[in-house]
Amino acid sequence: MELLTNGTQNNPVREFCLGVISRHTENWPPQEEALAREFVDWFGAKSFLTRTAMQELCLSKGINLSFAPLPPGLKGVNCSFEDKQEIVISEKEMVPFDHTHTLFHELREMLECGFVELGHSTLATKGSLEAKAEEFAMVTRMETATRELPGYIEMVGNIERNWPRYFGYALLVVFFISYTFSCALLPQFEDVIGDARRQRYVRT
Amino acid sequence: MRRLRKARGLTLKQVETQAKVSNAYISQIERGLRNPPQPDILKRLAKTYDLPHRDLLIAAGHLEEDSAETAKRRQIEEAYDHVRTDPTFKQGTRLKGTHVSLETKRFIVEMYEKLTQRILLKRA
Repeated sequence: MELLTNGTQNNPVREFCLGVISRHTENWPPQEEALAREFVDWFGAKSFLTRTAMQELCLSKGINLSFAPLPPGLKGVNCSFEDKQEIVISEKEMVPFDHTHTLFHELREMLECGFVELGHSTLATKGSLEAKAEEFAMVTRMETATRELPGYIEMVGNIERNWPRYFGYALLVVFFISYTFSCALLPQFEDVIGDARRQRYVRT
Repeated sequence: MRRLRKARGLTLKQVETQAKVSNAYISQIERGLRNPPQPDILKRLAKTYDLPHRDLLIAAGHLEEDSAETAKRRQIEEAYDHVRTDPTFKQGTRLKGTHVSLETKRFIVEMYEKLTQRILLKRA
């Protein structure tokens, strides 16, 4: 373990990876859900994040995040060199929460680099990282929503008049179900919207 | 042509709908049974495949790639190979499909240059 800790100083990502490895040594690799839970605690992820909030959270972990026009088809890039870590996300948000999903995807890829450097890859095959990162982004978003739900329920519960309170609960249920669906189906939504836009572009 | 279509996860039917070109004709082109399509058809296919029209015109032999263009393309490809094989530099992407376009490769090379302070691409 002493050998593993070498090089984690001033590198919060590697430090987090080391913590995950030490807590899951017995049953390595951890499930994406378990990793997402630890990640949300560590990163302070929320369901609703503005660009500035995302940048601040990343910066607190030593990662420089920016939004820029990217080539067609490219939604996000992450790069690491020595202690410099950078993420660039396409400034165009195709569907709501696209940026959050891409951010978590890129961070999962960075975490994998950390695990590999510490000799604990979570992948069965090299090509499966893309799928893992997509799954991680989905479950992380679901995890944030699940954690924030009790707060919203309490907020609605404080409404004194009955009918507005019932209406609040109903809205909350509808919103939570829609949000959960959006977490799971975001990549499909992106494809559908992307194809529809391309088709419209071809027609015009 | 088939590789391009598969990389974008499109079926012949989808290409037919989007580019207004018969799927039988596309299939024959893919199998090399027909001469390269005319520029107007290539224009519609380029939009469907999200590629520069010029690239398809060059591939179909309607346009000759000038030597400067070839040199630029080769430079980006070589730089990208260098980036991918540099063990000190780690990179990942979230990409639609599996095809890495020349523009994407260039962007990743530029990220490499920024982070490592090494110059791989010559600027005019």
